[in-house]
Amino acid sequence: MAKEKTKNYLSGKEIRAISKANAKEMKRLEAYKNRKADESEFLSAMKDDENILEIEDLHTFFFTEQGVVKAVNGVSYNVPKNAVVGVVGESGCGKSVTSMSVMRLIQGPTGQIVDGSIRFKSSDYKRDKKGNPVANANGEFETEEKVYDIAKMPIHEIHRIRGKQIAMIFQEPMTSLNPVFTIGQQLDEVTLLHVPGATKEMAKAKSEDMLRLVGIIPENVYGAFPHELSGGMRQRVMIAMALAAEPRLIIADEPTTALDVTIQAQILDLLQDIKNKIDGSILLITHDLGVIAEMADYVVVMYAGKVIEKGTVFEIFQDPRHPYTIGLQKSKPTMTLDDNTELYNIPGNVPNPINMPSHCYFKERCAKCTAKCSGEYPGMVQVSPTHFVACHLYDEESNNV
Amino acid sequence: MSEKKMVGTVETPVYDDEALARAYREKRARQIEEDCAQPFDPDCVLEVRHLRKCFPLKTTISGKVTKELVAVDDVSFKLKAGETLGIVGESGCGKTTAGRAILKLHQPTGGQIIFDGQDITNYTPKQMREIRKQMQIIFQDPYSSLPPRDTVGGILSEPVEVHKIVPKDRIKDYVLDLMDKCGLRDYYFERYPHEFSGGQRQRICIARALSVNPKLVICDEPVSALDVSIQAQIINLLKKLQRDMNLAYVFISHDLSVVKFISDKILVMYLGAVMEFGTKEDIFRNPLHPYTKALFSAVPNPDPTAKMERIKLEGDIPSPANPPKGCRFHTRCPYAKEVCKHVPPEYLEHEPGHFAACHLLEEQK
Repeated sequence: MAKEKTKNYLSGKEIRAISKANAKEMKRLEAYKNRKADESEFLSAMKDDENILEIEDLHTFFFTEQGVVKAVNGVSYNVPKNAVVGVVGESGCGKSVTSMSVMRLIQGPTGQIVDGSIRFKSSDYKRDKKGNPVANANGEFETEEKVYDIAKMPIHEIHRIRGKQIAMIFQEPMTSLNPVFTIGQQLDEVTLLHVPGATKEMAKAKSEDMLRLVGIIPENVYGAFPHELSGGMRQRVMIAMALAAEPRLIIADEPTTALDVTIQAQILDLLQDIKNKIDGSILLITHDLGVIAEMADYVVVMYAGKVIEKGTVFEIFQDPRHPYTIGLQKSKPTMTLDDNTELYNIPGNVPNPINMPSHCYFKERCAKCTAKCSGEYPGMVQVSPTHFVACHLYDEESNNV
Repeated sequence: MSEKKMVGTVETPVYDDEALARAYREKRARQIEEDCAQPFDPDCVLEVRHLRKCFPLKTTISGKVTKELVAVDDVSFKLKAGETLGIVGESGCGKTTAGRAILKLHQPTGGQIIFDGQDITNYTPKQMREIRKQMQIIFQDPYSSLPPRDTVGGILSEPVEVHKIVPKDRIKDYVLDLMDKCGLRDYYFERYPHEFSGGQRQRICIARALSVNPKLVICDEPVSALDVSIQAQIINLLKKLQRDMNLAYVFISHDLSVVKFISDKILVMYLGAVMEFGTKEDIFRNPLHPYTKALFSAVPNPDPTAKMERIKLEGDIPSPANPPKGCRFHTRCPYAKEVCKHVPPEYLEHEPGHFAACHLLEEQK
């Protein structure tokens, strides 16, 4: 009993040592985040031109008093053009932190992007040296395609992308709408901020169009306050707001978790519909395998801050390879399951995010664990042109990538 | 002018809403009186008859209620030992209120609750104390339903001590035994709730509910706050404990696949009223009510190859403070007819043990 206790508690001395080391690291990263930099410093090039977003070896850490929480620890995946990429995993696996890193919404100074790159193909307005959009001789604003590395961008440059090029739909629509402004004011703000030379009339017309697009009659809702709307309506407003600046990528972070099944079905239909209407991609983050199966083209499975399997939706659902993906699918009760059997369950819990072991994080919960699993963390193994898995069981099947 | 317009139009039946409502009320009052006079079923642990719970919205100065919200309207079912009743419905449909009213955490406005052969509807809190030993509840959020200042041992020992389940000197052994049953290690005894993950906390909540050897446990969305892999652990634990201790569960959830997995009978609620009731086999093989059908088809299927025919429900659930006239579901029902807008449908037995309230089914009969 005593042994357990010492393992779980830190002495004051230890905490002070950790804080001191953290403070140094945080100061360095914070300075890097707030530095003044020329555009050339964060310009980059895509590896594959078909992609709109490439996340490569991303590390996002939280420097807490108990130690460094490696919330995202070497995550790589791509979002192709006009595709829905679903990210699935349990709470605390880093799926939301990855998306927050893309938006640069990680709360500093504790949370920092430590390493890696997030390349995004943006179509930005031509800007002068101060960062203001420049009109050409006819008074029109031209756009040009550039690839930015979001992870290296100074924080004050991010407004070029955030909200305009990448929009986000959050889980809880009540807390992400401002309660003291009307829906109309909040929607107009998007256009006024991101479209150069926009007038109030233009913004209102645009907002009303967007509301119509998400299936709301604008007359009833434009002047209403968020508390007057139901949960489903609020989520529709959030989607309208995300669409208002015509983004190239929409990040939907658990968009239907707070909603009822019938409303969830409506919102999912709407997202499908919108994906076809706009020329953009969706990054869908959820823990619901059913939602992923219905919506996504590509699936990324995350566990404890790492990607453990990725592939097309058919590969992940019909031919899952990683024991965790298999277990996750078996442990979900479905409508067609014979219910006299015991439900399959993955034993144990997700390991403590501080002091992660060097071997496979899933080893303690894995039924197919071999001697090799106690060694180093498994690398990504390619099992088909689009299907990758990080597990020692498949090491022989193909060469490590 | 108006007479001319009348010619040629199809004659629609005219409904006198007030008279219909009056007739419906009177008929139902007779029905309730009749049913409540019936003798109790000795096989059942819990029998609920026409349970009704209203919350006052507006009162005059003298305290007279002028407007009220009917949260639960006319819920009836029987539950035997070792059985599970699943209550499903969207948020705001009154499923939680029904669960709490059964435990008398809310005083029911009407109807009868018969627990273990006793009519507990009008029991005083003092009388309820004896009954509390036998009926327990597990709440949805394991983070807010455990006292943060007490250890796990303390949390689990308190009900045992208060209800004098075992002699004082044997409490610790009893609690350790209980923790073992619920999959908690013995050294957790001196730990505090904040040290545990969601799944472990829910195990503590389950252990606390079972510490007094209840006959009936109300599970109010016990797994909705948990991850899929942990959810499966908790569901298996609940099923195992039911087998071992012959417990009766009332399992409240909005997740249909979980309800299907654990329940024997299912009650589908919408805006406070029962839409359909039957055994799990009946309801899943042959859903009768359009709402049940729509609810089932809205569940996302984790198979990317399956393309389902989805019955789409338009709009939102109406406010329970101002429910629609006639059938409550007619505003969103894809098959709604004129009669649905005016006449409340009767709750009838369409197959043995399979009840539903819908005009379309009445016609088919």
